[in-house]
Amino acid sequence: MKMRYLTREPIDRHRFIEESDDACLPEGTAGNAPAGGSHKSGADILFLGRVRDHSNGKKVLHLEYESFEEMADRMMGALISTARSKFEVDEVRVLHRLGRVGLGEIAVAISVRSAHRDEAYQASRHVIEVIKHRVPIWKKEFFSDGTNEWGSCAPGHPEEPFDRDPEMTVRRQAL
Amino acid sequence: MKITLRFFAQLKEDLGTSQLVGDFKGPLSCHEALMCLVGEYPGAASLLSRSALARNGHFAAEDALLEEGDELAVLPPSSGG
Repeated sequence: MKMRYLTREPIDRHRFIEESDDACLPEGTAGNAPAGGSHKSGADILFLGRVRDHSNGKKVLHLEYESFEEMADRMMGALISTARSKFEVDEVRVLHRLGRVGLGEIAVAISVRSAHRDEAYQASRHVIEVIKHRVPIWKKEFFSDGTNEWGSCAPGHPEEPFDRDPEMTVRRQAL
Repeated sequence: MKITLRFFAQLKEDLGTSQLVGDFKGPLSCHEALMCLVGEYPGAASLLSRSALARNGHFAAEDALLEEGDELAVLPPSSGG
């Protein structure tokens, strides 16, 4: 199964932005996108999660990401669809690394385009929070003292902020 | 009934395997399958109790019943991003 939102290849910032520009255009016109993509979006938020060199007081050498890939990829697709409709944004793109990721490298990239900034900021924040707390992806931190540790962001099955539907249904809240 | 159990991350290391095929007496809920694991691997009880369950790739309620051939993934607290 080809993964759409997970990759073992390094994420290149510029290429990700270009592909986000293309994603905003009508099908068949990709590759000729003007800078910034479609001109209907006035807000363009790019979040890049990079590997930092410290964690809980210890010096980090690199991370390794593992995933329940089929489920994570499907959930990312549902998350994008949900975020687009909930926040009424024009475009959302996500790409998450798997495997070994070195210091400073991009572990996750999220692009949101919308008419205005409020919904773009909210959608971007929502997407990263769901990835961290919901999507079955795990990071293992490797430290300079020779130890390693699996990270943990949240309980495996959080009650908030989702409905009883444990998948990607998100209550529309007053913003 | 045969159920495939899948493990990831810390749980995979604690149990020493990424996958087990269990032969269970039905009917069996997801929670009951998890409790069987706790019984078999008491050292992993804490992490098992904090893990989410996914039946055939979808989050499952604890009382959801398993069927012959199902895959039950036990997902430790996530740490993506």
